[in-house]
Amino acid sequence: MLRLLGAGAVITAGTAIGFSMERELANRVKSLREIEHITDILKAEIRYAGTPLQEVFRGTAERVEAPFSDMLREAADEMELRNGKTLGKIWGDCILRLPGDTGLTQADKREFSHLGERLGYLDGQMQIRTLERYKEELEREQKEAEADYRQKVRVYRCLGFLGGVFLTLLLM
Amino acid sequence: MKDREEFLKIFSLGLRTVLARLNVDFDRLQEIRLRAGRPLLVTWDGREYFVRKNGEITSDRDEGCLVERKDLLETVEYMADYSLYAYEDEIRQGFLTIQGGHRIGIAGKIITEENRIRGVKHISFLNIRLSHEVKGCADAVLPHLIGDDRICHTLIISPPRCGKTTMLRDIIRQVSNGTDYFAGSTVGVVDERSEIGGSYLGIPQNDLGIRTDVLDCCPKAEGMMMLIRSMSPSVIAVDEIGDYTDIRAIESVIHCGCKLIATVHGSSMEDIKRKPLLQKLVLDRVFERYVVLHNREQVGQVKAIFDDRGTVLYSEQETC
Repeated sequence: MLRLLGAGAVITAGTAIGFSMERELANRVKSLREIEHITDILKAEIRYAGTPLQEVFRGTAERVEAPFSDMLREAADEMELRNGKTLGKIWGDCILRLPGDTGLTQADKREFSHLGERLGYLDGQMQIRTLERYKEELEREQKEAEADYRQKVRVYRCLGFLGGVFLTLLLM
Repeated sequence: MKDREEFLKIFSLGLRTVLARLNVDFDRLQEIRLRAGRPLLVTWDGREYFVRKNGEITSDRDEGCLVERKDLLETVEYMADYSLYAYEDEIRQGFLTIQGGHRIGIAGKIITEENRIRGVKHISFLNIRLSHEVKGCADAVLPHLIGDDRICHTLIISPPRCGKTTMLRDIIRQVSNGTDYFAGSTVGVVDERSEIGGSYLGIPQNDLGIRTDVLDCCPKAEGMMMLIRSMSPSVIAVDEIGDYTDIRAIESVIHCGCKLIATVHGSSMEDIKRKPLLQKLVLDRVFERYVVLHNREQVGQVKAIFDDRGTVLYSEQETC
């Protein structure tokens, strides 16, 4: 009886690991979409309204989901303090504080962080071009992430379950 | 000065510490000048002083606290809310107006394209001109601007730094609220540089009265016509008229039955008559009152008030 219970626990754990790996891929796709949404809003606000970033961040925070909404609010709050930090540093620090379940890779975070270093300059057209380039990059990453998800979703689920079964057999 | 702490946030951390210790009355502080590698200068009560690191003012330039390049860069970032692009058009004209209506003049390396100014790079000189709300400074002037229970078309003539915007702001407030001898009127303000209202997110931070509508950051000529079409004002107020489009719009305002209060750079009636565009308005007797300001003894001093024929209605008395 105890063996059966143990076997069940191991198989469940294996399956859960598979599902969690799959969720990470799904979260990455979702996060990249949210970042793309943020980029679109930034671009529109800079191009059509010339709205200052602090105001854009607060407005955008109302239109995107957590944890990005919290990140934007934090950035706006810190900008208000005028505490000697550059915009790039404020933005970068906020990205570092993003929780781990966004599914974003280190490279994704690095690119997102670089965006902050290129915002706030005098030339509005240059900002829009920067945002457009970043959006193109994001779209590419998003397609890859979606393909990755489609490819690996079943593999992770099966591997999790089968890994659990295999470990159970080994232990028995 | 209200919101002194908020105002100081436009400066770099280093300069903010020095200016926070400044041992002068901020209400009489007119200008703060930052130049890369040069001492920090302030104009207080009409005189220029250097500022020591401990915040004391001095006339000795060697004791003045030096403004470093990084201080300027940090200040530029703060004054533009980390968003220089949002002020691109203003910066191209050499200044920007921040929350509270304070105007920041900018100089540095000018970027041109086909002989037109595209922007300013390496901003190395800043002149922060503080906006002050002096309620009641138009008390002595206002009775002269009213005829037949209506405000007259008025032109305030003043050299820079003599308080014409402050005077205009108080006239707007009093005309809008009404006084013991004059019922309040609807006033439309075209605040092209946000200096009159000092608007933040569209809401004036300075008191412009209870019957005032403000078009913030709007070109004067278009704004005057917009107000007439949309807000049916009895009085329209604008700051610093000067170019051809402004004069055309003024003619339209006057023919729409609205009263106009405007300001212009100049030192006397003769000075205005020498300017071709304004000369026509004077000769056509468009303006019914002219208020001439100067700052011989203090900012906002009224030198004289004339009617449309050039008759002196008031001469040389302190009002503010």
